[in-house]
Amino acid sequence: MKNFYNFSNKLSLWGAYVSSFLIVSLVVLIMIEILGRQFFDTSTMIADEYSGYLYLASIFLGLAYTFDKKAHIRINIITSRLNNNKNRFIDIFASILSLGILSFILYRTILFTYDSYDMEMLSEAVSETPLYLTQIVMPIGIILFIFSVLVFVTKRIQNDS
Amino acid sequence: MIADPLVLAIIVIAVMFLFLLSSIWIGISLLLSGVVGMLIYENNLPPMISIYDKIGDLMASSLYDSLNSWSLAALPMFILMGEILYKSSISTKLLNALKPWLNYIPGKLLHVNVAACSLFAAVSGSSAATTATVGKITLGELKKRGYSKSLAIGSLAGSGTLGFLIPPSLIMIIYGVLSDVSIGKLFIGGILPGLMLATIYSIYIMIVAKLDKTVESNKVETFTIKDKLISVKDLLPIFSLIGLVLGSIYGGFATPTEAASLGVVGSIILAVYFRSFSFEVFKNALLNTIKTSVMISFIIASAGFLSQVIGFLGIASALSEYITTLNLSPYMLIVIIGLMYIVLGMILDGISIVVMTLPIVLPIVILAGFDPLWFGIFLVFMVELSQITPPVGFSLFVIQSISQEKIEYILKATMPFFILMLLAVAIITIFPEIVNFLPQYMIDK
Repeated sequence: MKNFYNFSNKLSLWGAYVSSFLIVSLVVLIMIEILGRQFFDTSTMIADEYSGYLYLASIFLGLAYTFDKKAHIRINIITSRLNNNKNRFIDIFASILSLGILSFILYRTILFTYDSYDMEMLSEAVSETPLYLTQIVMPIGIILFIFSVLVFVTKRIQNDS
Repeated sequence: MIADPLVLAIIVIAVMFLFLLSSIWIGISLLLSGVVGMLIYENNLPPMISIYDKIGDLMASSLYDSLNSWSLAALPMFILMGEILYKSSISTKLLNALKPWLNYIPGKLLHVNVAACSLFAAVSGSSAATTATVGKITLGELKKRGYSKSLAIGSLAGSGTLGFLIPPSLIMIIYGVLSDVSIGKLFIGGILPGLMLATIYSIYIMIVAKLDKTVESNKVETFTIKDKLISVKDLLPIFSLIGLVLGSIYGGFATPTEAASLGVVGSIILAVYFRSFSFEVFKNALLNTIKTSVMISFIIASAGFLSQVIGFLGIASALSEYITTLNLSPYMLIVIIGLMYIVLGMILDGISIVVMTLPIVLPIVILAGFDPLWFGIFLVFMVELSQITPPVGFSLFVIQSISQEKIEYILKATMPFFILMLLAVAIITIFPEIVNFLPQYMIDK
């Protein structure tokens, strides 16, 4: 079990590192676009389009890390008044519902990505980027997220913090 | 199975609050509510399409479409900019630079929160970041000098919320994307209301300081011309950064997303200039950025799905029609909407409120004849109020962790500033020109 915890934590952290790298790339890409436009009268032609992809990818790959760091917000005006045992029960209940919906999203985003791949869909912009490449981060990020929720719920079931 | 959109609306809203209050993560709650809405709907899908297919398609595509956005890409960059500045010594510089100038106003350094927050808000997109960055220095300094603790805390809570009103602003970016209003115009539209609110706070502090001499420090500090010149040297980099970010938008030289990336580069230069930049600082700033932007964006994406569901079920149009039949006057309507936001603001954070309510509220407001640009600024005020209303108010949490005071004490100190904010809302509602004045002169890109 400990191995799985470590494995999942490492994955989340690596997801966050990749996210960080993508955000730095986003800044660099837009700076190149601005400098190119102002001083060299050229354009990357892809800055608008790729900022969206980079942002989307950085969010999905950061979902698990954000969960591990307890930064996804939840309303605790009621639960903060309850004792640990009741809170454990609530956490387990919330995690199971989350795992349910996340598994469904995982399945559907895989289908979504596969369809784009299968139908060879390309972006409508000049780059004509294959769309599945921009969509595949969704199932990957959701898998990491599911691992993190699994770690959380098993810890809560074992009452180990 | 239910076909009546009004009944559906009531059930979906009730289910959503049930999920939210049972402490399920907000993003997940919104997704679940959307699924429930789809499942109880009397749909007319052809038998070969299962409802789960429909939900799945809608979910995958709305999660993708909500976040694959050039405009929203500004969010993580503005957050990163704030994180870099938070770790820099900008707070100390702001305090030292403002000190010599505030010495002549009644209330003296009590104005430092208002002034420093207004300046910092012009380089920061969020209220929590503004409150934290300014508060981490000023609260201690004011206490040390014997200023009124209650006014120090109250003015910090009130002025910290300027982070959302004075551009750049995360809330305005989100509102702009959801409502199709130019984010650049929203940014520029927030400047005058922001300055107006800051002025109202300062006038209040002056009046209190005149009436009650004990709130002020009795220590007399004197500043020479040299002190003032040094202070200008410290303020200059901050003003340059403000000029870079806001000037580039106002002059039509950059879109808000481009201004955000300029801002990141500018904040790095500023941090290097103040000697507070290192690889470690940058790495931590990035990881904190991930946490905040993912938290916000996951809620945006989930709300994107929920709003698709609301559209699919016909809830939004049915509610708009229903409200129209009530024949409310526009002022009456906006008062009711305002009250609703204040109540929601007590249990939810600002961003969730905006993304959850907008698909329903925006059509109603536009139908009643309000300008969507003006409503954006109104909404930012509502979000600001939610930041300082208990039990869930992010600015309150930030101040609690800085000051170590009891929440009841902070609330009491914040109350006058909450009322002043309501006054500001009333003023911009009666005089919408305050919002529209600057945007009409800008070069929109």
